[in-house]
Amino acid sequence: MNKIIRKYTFLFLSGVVAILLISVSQIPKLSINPEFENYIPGDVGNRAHLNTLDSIFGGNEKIIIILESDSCILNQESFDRIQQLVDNIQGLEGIERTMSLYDVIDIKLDNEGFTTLDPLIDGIPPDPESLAELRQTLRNSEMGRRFISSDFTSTAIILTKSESIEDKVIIPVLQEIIDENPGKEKVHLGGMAYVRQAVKSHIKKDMVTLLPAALLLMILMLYFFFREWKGVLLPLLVVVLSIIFSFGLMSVMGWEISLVSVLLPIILVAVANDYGIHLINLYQEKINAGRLTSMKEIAVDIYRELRKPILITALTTIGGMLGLLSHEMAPAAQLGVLASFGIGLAFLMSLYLIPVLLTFYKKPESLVTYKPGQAPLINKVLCLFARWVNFSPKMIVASFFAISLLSISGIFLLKVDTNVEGYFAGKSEVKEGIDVVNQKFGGSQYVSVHFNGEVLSSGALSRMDNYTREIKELPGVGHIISPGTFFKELSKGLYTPDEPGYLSIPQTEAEAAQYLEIAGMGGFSEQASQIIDPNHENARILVSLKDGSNQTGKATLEGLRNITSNDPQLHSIAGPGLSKIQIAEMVIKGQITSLLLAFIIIFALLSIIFKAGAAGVKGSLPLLVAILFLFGLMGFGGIPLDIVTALLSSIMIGVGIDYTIHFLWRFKTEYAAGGDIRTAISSTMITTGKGIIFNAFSVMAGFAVLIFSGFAPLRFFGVLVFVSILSCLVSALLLVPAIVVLTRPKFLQPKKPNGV
Amino acid sequence: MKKYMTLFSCFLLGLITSAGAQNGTDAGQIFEESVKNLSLKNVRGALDLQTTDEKGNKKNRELSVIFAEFGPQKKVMIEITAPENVKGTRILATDFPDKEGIIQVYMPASGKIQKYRATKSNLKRVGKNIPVNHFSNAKYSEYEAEMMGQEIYNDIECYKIHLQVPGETEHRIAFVSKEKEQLLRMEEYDEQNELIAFTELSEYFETDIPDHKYYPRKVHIKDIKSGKVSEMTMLRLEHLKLKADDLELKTTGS
Repeated sequence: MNKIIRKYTFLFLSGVVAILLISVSQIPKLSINPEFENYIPGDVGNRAHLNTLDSIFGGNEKIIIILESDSCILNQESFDRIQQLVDNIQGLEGIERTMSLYDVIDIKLDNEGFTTLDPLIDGIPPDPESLAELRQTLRNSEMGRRFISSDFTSTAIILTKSESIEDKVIIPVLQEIIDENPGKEKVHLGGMAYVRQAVKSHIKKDMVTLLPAALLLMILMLYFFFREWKGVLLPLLVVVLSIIFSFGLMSVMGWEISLVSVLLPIILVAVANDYGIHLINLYQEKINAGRLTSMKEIAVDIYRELRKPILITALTTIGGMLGLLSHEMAPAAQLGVLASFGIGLAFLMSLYLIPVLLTFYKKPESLVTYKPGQAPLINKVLCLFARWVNFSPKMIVASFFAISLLSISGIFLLKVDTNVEGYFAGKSEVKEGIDVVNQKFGGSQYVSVHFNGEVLSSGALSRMDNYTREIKELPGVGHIISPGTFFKELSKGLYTPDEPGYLSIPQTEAEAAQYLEIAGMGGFSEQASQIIDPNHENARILVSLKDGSNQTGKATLEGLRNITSNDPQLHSIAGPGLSKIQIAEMVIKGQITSLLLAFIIIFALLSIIFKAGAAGVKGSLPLLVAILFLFGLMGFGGIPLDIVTALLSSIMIGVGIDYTIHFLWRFKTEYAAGGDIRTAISSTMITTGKGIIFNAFSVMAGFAVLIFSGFAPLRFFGVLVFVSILSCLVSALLLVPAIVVLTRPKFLQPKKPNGV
Repeated sequence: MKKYMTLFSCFLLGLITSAGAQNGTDAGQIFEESVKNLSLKNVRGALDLQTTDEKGNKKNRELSVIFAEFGPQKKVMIEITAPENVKGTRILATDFPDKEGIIQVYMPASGKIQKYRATKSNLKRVGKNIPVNHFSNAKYSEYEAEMMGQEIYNDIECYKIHLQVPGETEHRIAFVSKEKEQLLRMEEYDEQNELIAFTELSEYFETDIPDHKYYPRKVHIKDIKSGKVSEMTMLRLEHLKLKADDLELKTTGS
């Protein structure tokens, strides 16, 4: 450090600036990928089956446009509007199919034996009797019921979205078309593409307004604590640089910004801030002690005193983050790498850049801002903590034990729900659309039961027909489209109602194949290709889910599995509606394995560094308690575990272990200097303890701003980050010292001189 | 099935357009001459038909097709001869001069015949792209032809002829070779003047059928909107003497 300060300051700073410029130049190349399906490896489970289904049958995702009227939607004005919308949407790039009530064909035989293919609705009759007749026709039509609600107040236009088109491209185009075709009906959009796009817009909107507010609050808190701008700017500089460098690396590696990597700046703010704050805190201690004469001397001194604890905290945090490499979800593993990289750089910059930059400042006389005899509030609180620890350590440990037990019971109530529909609550437009789609139109999320082989054989068709009947009875199921329903509709154009073939499935494979030839000729090849492939080697039953919750998805999946379990031609059961279940399973599995790995790494590192297994146990314990508390609280509070909230524990690993190590390290020094545990506890509290509080409160204040978000997940996220940091803080300042007082670990004892 | 209809549209263009209003222009005459070859009567052909959907799935059919005229009545019978599970499926389109035509489809597996009236609205749906409506006078009889100029197509100098029904915004463009007056390409445009489909005819070969010296061996049709492609290869053409009764469909017990 002396050499850097004396000789290499300029070179060092130039190096930092150069890396900054390189990183900044790479950042514009980053792209965002919010698609959950892409988080799942392509050759795994539901995703692999979805890719197969897409290659055979085309796009699996639906977008639904619903027109809702205060009264009956069966009026000419509304229907003209539907036609205009359909005309404008049909043929749009990214929309493979468009279907509305206009496309529902009523197939029947007329009196002379000719097949008529008249639209189910061809204009709205003006007289009430004909209108009543039309309503009855619609009620009786299986296809018609997909497009009109049972109360006749709403009608749907169902679009099949191509996989190649991005949500952010197609949704605004559709919204524009809706705006260009105004009318008295309320228009809702539904479907996962719309919901995902809404999630992104909400997050963007809140980030633009709330994030600057969060940063400002953080800055104000730091100033409030340190009462000088270098206490704000230097730690913040390290945080900003480490964020920029990490995103630069993301770009160089060709990785995309995902819903998961949004956690990266948050982890870095919480962790990288910590190193700088401890350095500034110690710097202020040195100033107030008045023993060193120049800023250079202070810079070298704080470097020497803190390089080991900061190195240890950095290593253990990086070790903890690298636990994420065990995740099956690529974005989570990438987060582990990027966070480790960012923390590594933050460590280097904190230890070297901050002292170097401090030398540019003039040495102040003193930084004591309170009157003599009047300690600041923070000192009073820390002294109180020290008193509790010194005189009631058992009570503290017992309390934490009780809280842990309670938290464990809360964990059993924890629900996993990766359904983004649940992000919207109350009277939001998105929520309204979701409710209308789910309640009146059977849902927008589909599951495919895929069969292959000789799918047109009488056995296969008969089994699929039976399955369709059974699937209808499952509670979470909305609409079903199957080969059976398709053939039965076609039979109405061949047989009169009194003939045995009417509303029956074909009896032979040849008959089924010929039916499909005729269907193609009759203009039904598109509809047919949704459920039977052109080579007649694959068929599927399409089932819509009435709501998008993981619970419904899981129950329906189980039901479908039970119904089709012994079918020799069953290939798979898959769908966009099930991706989130797969993601949920990956999230839980990944989180358990990464946490376990993180704990093992942290335990090993602490044991090696302090040369005692006890250090590994005692150092990890507060972190474990804090994590149990977080998940227990989520269980009691009904906050579901999803992709983002599950990874919050990664933030806690970074922060929790930092606080613990800083406390233990300082305690060891104070204990070696004074020889009395209680004094050492008190000194550690009001020195390092202050730095821990500064870090915790500045981060907590920043994320508390998210509580004002209009978007439920961000609100929950703000609350959970607040709770995570608070629990780590309390564990570090109460539990850790209480354990130390009770157990007097040998690894913290001062080294005895030889011969004594 | 749409595909079969699509392909035969070309063959029957002359049949239809000769009844239509070409306005006696050069363009109309050139176009009529070029499709004369394609309008067959009293002829049986054997075809290979391959259709590929937008996903690359291929479907192969072997067809036998008969074109016949019995006075003012025109008939086309298509029979699928392979593959096995649809062999024997027959489509009969009958065109009447004084009333709307009929399209019948026979399913051998059930012995049932499905009948459609060849109305405009039915024909829009039944074989959407070009298809069955070419067996009927209903649509093409109203087309007017206009010369757009000349263009090189596939290294062949061609007349470029615009075809449109008065009052409608959709139109077609035909490329007819100057030297041999053979129809080489037909493009279809929608209301926005966007190309939505095209048909290419190539490898014209000599036939021994009266009034039909040349015939395209290959017909390639692409529907740009749906991405579907059809490739037809004419394997054989032979002249037939037929009676009206020869082209009838009868139900069999089922």
